[in-house]
Amino acid sequence: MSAPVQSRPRSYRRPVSVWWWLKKPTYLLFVLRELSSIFIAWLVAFLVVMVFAVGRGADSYRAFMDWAGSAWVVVINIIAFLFAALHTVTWFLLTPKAMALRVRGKAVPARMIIVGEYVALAVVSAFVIWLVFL
Amino acid sequence: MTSQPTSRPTSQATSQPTPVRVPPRTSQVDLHPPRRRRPPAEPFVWLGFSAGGMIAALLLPVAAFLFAIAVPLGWLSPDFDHLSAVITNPVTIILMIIGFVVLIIHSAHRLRYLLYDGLKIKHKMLVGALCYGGAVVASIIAVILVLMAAF
Amino acid sequence: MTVEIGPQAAARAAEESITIEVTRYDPDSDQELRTQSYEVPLRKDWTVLDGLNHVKDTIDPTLSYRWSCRMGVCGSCGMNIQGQPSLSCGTFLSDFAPGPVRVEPLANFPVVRDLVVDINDFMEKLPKVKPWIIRDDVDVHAGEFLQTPAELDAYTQFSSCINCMLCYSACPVYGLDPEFTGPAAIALAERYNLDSRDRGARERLDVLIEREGLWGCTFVGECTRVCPKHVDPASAIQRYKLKAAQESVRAVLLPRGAG
Repeated sequence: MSAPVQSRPRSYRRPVSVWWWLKKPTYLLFVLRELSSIFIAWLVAFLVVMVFAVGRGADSYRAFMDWAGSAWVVVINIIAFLFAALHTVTWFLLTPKAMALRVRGKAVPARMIIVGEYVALAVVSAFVIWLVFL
Repeated sequence: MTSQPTSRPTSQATSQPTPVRVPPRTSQVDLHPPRRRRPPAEPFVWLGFSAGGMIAALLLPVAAFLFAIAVPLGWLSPDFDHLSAVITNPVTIILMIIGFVVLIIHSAHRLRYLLYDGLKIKHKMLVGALCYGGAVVASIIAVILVLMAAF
Repeated sequence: MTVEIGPQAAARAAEESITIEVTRYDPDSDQELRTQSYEVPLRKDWTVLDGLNHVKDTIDPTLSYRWSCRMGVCGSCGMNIQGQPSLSCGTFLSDFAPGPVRVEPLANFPVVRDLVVDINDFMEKLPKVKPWIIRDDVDVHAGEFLQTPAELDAYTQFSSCINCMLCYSACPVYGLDPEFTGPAAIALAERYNLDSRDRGARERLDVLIEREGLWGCTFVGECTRVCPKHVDPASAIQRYKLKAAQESVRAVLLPRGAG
């Protein structure tokens, strides 16, 4: 009788496809949410260059805004805005999960935290608009 | 089924019981991973990611709508001199620098996991170096541009 | 084979059936996974487990799968049913009528035989997070530790874990990154951290804070969606991340002071 080659039978490892995120709608939403980070980086670049243009004077600011008004830039920015909105909505839903707030011995329900976040969004947005237009 | 006689302490136990010290824990599983000499970087990167995520969530919708859509399309026109005054204000400068840097950290952190998990680019070191290295470079450029705009 | 007579038998003979497509794998003879279809009666109170037991009892005794309590508390019967990690004892065949139903081994684990998977990776990771009360000053004669209802409430949800590993199956990070500790293990670490009787949070943190042990989680959230006991491991992990980050900041700002 020959000695056994291995003591355990060979188990089968199923490879994970690179398209794993298309297999479920929740996976797809997750990947879109993560993809928003690219558009956030784009918006940061856009805003930094805009700030720089403002610093250079009225002419460079106008030139920047003319460029920003061209068709493909507007299209990219609309898409970026939509992804920024996706980020905001998903971020507000996720943050209550990271904290277990208790006020006077009772757990604060997640819905209240989410409402608080949207209130903060409204306040911050109003402040920025006021700041820019006075 | 066998029955075993249980032994019980007899009525001699009238003295004060002494506290039992739990014997030291022993285990065959290696429960002690090698200790790092310096604190790990991941928690701090995650904090930066979280801060960036919150700032992005609160500020980017209005900032994108205003400056990337409304103003270029001519729907709104802020006064240039006022904009210039806001940009050169020291408080704004500090907030912009902090804000842009954490936003960049946030994007780099998410992009790193997107490349690693989403696209299965299995070179963790390379992906990490590209993303965080890129974040450092981008942050430096952003800070320089913001400061140049102010002075 | 018994011959059934009477009205009940006639009713059974006329009842519907449903096809289940089961993954088969014999490590001694197969190179790849294959699928085998079986017809099982579609009874309104039958679960997928009942269907598998019917197959094993009356059609094909070579089919291998794990099960035990058949009521959703032991965590043995986890498998991918119609692509979704589920407990076979809690998933009704009638939900998939007219069928067919795909029954596959739990995803993200190596297949040992048919529907049986190798869960050694989890069994190695679990003790690393020290899922037990860590406390040195135990005085047995002083009696048990007391807890208020509020203290019990703090960790009860995370103690409901039955180690069924559906969360590991649902987690894409676990499938892609072998270093990731995984949802159940981290949730159980959090369960003990939140237990007022425990003093071992620092020890667990030292293990999990290493590289991708905890930080591999990107909050996909699928683990919480598939958990049959509503443990919400995703929430446990995010809370743990926040605490780990707070601890790290404290360790840097107050190196030896705060303990």
